[in-house]
Amino acid sequence: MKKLEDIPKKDHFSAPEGYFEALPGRISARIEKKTGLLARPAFRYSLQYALPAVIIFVLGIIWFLQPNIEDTANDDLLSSIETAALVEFLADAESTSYEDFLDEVNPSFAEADSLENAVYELSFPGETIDELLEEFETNNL
Amino acid sequence: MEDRELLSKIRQPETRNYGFNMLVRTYQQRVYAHVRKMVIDHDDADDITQETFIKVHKHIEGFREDAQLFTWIYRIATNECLTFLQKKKRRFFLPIGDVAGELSAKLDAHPGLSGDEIQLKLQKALLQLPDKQRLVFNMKYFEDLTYEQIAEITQTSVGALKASYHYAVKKIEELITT
Repeated sequence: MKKLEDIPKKDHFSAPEGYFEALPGRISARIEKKTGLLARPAFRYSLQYALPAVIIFVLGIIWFLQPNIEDTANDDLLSSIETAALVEFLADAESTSYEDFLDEVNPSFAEADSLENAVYELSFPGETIDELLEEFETNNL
Repeated sequence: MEDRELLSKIRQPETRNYGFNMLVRTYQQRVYAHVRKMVIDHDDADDITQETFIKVHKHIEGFREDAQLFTWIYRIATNECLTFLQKKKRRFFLPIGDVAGELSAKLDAHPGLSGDEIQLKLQKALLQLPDKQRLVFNMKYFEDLTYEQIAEITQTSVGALKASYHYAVKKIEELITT
């Protein structure tokens, strides 16, 4: 039987050239980006005002997509009114800052979900949110 | 720079960045090597190494100096490796054998191992070990850590580690002989 002690000890996994020279800077840049993001007033402002718009929008979608046992004609009318009201609300709301927020922050879905829950102590059925947000392509945030 | 001096610099706001930079420079090669042996792929090792130091930065204020700085950093790196490997298995819904197969394929493609049959056999044999046993083996065999240091890193008893290493060696010797 071959013995481990008879095999020369070798380290085959070398890093690419220049890797260790650059690594501290890359790590510092990532830390700075994370720290700077959380300290920015605009980020906190966006959390406070843009997130309610997001939450109302998502709640509206959940409500809109739920199966309805009431009269179809009335349901359609009610649904369209609610949607239009939502659209109007969002047009009046600070949608620009929300778009800016998305561009600036670029949170992952998990981060956005976590932030919402932390700030507004809400919880949503995760799968429903996943499906909805995928449908509206906001998982590209 | 000594650990005490590093920590002192990190804990002062005006020298925090400099101190942390020095900490990374002091430990980056060892952390990378430790991680790379576990995940094989450089890009994965790079991600995990960075995450390790980001977590070190986040929690350094709470670091109690009852442990060595090195073993504390290694512990974070070890946990990051294990988490990564577990996520990999869950993502592919595969048992350990298939993740080992994927890592084995990366070894086959690794230029440093081509032409060195026995070393390739050894690395592939290591992939057959459970992740934690492989970690212990790597730390003892390749990195020459003491059982006491490994115990601190893995929060496992020295006796259990000795047994784990003993069985790992036996298994590897069987695998490289076949």
